Amino acid sequence: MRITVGLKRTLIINALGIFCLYFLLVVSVFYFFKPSISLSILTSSRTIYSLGLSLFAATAATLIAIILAIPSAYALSRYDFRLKPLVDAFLELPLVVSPAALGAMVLIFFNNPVGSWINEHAGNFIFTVSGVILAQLVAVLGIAVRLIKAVMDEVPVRYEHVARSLGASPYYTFKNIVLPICKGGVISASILTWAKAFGEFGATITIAGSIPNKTETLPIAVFMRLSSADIEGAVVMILLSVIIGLGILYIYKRLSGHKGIPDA
Amino acid sequence: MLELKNLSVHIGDFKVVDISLSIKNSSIHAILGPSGSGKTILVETIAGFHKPCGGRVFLEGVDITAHAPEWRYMAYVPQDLALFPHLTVKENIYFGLTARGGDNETLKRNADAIAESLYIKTYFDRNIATLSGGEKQRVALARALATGNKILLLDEPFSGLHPGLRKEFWFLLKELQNRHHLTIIIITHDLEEAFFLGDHISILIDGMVHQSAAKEKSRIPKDKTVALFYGIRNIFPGIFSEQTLLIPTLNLTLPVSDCWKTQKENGKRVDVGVRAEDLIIYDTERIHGVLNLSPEVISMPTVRGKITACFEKGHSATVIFSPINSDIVLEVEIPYHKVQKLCGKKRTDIAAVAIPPDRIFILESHEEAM
Repeated sequence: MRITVGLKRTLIINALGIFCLYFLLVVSVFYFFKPSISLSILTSSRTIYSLGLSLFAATAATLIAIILAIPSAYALSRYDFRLKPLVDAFLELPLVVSPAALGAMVLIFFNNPVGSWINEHAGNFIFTVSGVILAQLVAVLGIAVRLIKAVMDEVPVRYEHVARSLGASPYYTFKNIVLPICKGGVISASILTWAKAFGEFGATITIAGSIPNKTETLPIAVFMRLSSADIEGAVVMILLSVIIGLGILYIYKRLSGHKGIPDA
Repeated sequence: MLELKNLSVHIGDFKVVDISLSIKNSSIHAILGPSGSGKTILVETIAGFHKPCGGRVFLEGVDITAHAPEWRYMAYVPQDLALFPHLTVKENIYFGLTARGGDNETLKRNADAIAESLYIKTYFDRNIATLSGGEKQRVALARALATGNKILLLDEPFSGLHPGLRKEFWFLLKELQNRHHLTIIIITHDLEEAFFLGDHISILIDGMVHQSAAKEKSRIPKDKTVALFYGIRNIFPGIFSEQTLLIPTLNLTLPVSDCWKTQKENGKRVDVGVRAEDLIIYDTERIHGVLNLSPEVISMPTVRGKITACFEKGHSATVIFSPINSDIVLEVEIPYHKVQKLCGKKRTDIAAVAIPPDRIFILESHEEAM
């Protein structure tokens, strides 16, 4: 009992230590926070555009990622097929390859004949808003599949078996049983995907560049303001990102409802 | 008639091999076996969830091996019931009707009637999570029957219930089967459940059917594996010799019975078994006095010895009996009213166990004759 209490205290102190580290980082930016100029930076057309673009691109990339991820996650969760281990491994690409390298790969792709054709006929992705969405999509798609697959793995296949035995087709079962049961998990996965897309920087700047009022998202705005020694401006952008990011994650935590195990 | 012909399935660590069974219409076929014997895989393959690696499934003479589950018209109820958690009781029961694309009024009336007969209608609009174990069982059965399927595949559906409620559902299932002329395949590891419900019982152990017979014939195990699964521990080596069966460990010589379906040539070694509840134990000291044993019991082959232990089980007791000059023990099942009389005896008192010859069975043995 004494050992258990000791371990519990150590673990909680560890968790609080990590919290302190991040909290300290957030608090430290206030050193350069100037309320007098913050409002003008916040209401400037450049900031509003960056914020709007970030919200729009992250939402678009998340929607596309979730639509593509749901069937893929279901296939990976339920079926065995020849290339499954390979597909499964490639889902980790955004995690094992740096975002800049991922963006560079997309740029290189658009310079080969197939990519050039797509760029010409299906819309230009280089230094455009479409490019921002594409960059974020590439960065989050694998993660979205991984998150939704984890949700689907938790749904016992027996629900589908029963539905099929009652006369439901595979599509009807997927639409009326699997998806509704996974709904909460898919929403949580979407929020995490959105948060990841919202904070995406490396791939976005590589593909779409950093053109103010065109392709400058909030994370890129932080970088650009830091590059031009506009620390106060960068701080405002950082705080904006933190508020939105943490707000979204707070909603996620409330939705997923994870709680600790109560004391025995 | 549902027929399985040489059906083999291999899924992960589980497999069933060369299963051939015939399930008559309007009957209950119990598939009995220990955990991990492949029962669930077998029933899931019948339902169409797994592709067999060999053999065929026929329904009324039609090969349905390649049919999708939704076109087999067999309702499946798994062990955890798998009630759809996002739907209400009513939506669960109506699921099969809407899934088939027809809000057929006749089917709806039929579903309502089934729900009514299972006393579900009072909680039709409730959420699944709020139901008790018994209520969930009723909803699962109603959902399976609502589509009008005449074949029900039940995978240990009552295993999560307490004994009283489980028995209640046995009666209910029998009643439903009679009323709707259902063909039911029920999987269970519970002998009592299999014998209560099943008209026909198949014993599945290690992916193979060791025994498949009508209930009346299923009481006698065919081989040692089944006997051990039944919990029969009174198994002794025997040898056929000159129209007699010798059981050396019990010092018994029995006349050969025609009931024993085995070759009885001289010197053939076999395993001999007898059920604990078929043995008759009595106090020898009072045999000529107070106890009035029937001549039939007195004429039975008898083993003398001592009661070494007695385990009361509420409704009966298991007595451990050690024969004189033998290092083996006999397990005897006695009814509760005899518990006080026999279990109260001193451990040194002599008792006797009468073995009804017609209750002795020969287990198939693969040992060669001497």
